[in-house]
Amino acid sequence: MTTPVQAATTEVLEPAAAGSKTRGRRARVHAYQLLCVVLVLLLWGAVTVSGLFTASSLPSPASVATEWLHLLGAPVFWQAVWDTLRGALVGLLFAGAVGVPLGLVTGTYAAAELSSRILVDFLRSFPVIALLPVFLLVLGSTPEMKSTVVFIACVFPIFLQAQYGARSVPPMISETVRAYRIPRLLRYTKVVLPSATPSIMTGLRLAATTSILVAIGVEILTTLPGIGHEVTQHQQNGNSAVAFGYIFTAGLLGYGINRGSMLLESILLRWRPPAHTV
Amino acid sequence: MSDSDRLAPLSVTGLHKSYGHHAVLADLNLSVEPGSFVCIVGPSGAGKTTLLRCLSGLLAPTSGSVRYGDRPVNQPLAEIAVVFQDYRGSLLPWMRVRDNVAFPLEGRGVSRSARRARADECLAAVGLPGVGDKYPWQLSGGMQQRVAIARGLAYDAAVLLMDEPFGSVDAQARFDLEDLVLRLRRDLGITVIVVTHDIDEAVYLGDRVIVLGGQPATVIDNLTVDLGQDRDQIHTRALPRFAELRTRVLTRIRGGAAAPDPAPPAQLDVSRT
Repeated sequence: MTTPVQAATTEVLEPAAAGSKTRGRRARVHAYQLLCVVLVLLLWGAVTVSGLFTASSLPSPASVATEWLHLLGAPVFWQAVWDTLRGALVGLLFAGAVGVPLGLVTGTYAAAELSSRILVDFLRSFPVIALLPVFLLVLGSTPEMKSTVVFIACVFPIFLQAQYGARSVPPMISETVRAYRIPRLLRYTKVVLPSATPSIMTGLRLAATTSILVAIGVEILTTLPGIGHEVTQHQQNGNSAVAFGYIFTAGLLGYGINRGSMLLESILLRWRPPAHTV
Repeated sequence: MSDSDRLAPLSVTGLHKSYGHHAVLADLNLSVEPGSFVCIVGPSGAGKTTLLRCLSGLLAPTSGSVRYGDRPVNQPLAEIAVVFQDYRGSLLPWMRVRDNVAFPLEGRGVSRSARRARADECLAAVGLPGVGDKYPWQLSGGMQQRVAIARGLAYDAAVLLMDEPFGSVDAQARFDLEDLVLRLRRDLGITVIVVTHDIDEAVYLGDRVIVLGGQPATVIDNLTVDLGQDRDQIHTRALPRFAELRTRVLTRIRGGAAAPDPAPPAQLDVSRT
């Protein structure tokens, strides 16, 4: 199995050495990136002004911004953010706690990996939202149910990336570890885990984005409190600008989690020579 | 474990190793006395690395046996440390140099402070004091190989097995590393076995040179290097005796018969194992 996502992990890290020339180029890149955002906002504004959609279905960027700034002062808003975040993080945490060790162990034993492959491939292709009615029935409409669904959606990318990482311990290192009689537990914590960390981090990043997505999805489909719930509520009450404020917040959360895991990755992988990060 | 158990001859009897139908080593016999410096030399592809992996217990022989004293070497032993040719691949890139050196001790349950002290001591012994906090990639190739040697020393083994240890470093670093290993052997009284394709290196380092040859490979010559314990890069290599020994080894590797040796027979061990 190859992971196309692997390649993407390195390119996002900025080169460490930044001369004045590269700094200038970076400033220009930032300017272009900002320009893109402004262009999309202008387009959005133009569409709302054109009257193609009613203000209740597509509010203007200005009204969304005003509502969003209002939301920042409302305890209800922060409660919703917290509900979503907690559901996502608890599920993600458990997915990591289960997926990483299980992936590492099965990754080091070819037999375990081969025999579990069909089952894992099937389970991970399963649309987790389709299972929602079952979970509602079994666990009821509870925050724990939300975390469980998040867990199921997140555990497979983490598990598979950990397994992939564990298999990619260089043969020379395995040989060294054997020659120096490193005990099994130490081999996992000090050799297999660090060697698999780049791969695991890719899985965690995928899973982190998924966790927010699934948490909000569950809130929209059930009555559980959170950002998703607020979005449907306000949409139904005709406050679409507020609903968009929440949608924007969900986007920010996803972006924030992604940036956060990139930061964590660069901290965990600081042992790498600079050539790797360019 | 008593000292007599720790210091024991490493002996190979009737060793055969094949990969599928391809025989690499056949009927190979040799014995390495404790405290001696033995170089195993042979052309590329002669099965030197296969032999070393059998000696270290990393590879099981197809038939025959490797024994350390009276114990079979069917898995890596605590008495044998290995230094691989590929130092880049064998140091753990995510560990600092000190942790790399101390890692085998961690497996033995040595305390953190004792590990640290031992690692620093061994790094100093290989001429690398003060690099403990660096990562391996921050060091040159020669320095990385010193770190790998320090790790072997920290393991506190009686035997240091080295596979083409100086093959991938530049010439000057290579001379320094050769002298380093000679000095370590003299200071610590350890047994050193070096596998190499470099005849000059084998003669310069060894008390004994074992020549591998043939397809499948076996021991085709086994000679004592009577150059004394004190050797140096400039004078030892200029000795007429050095030239004679290297000529003899080269002749054997090229497939010639053992050249008549002008040295008194008493000093020579020409018996074929």
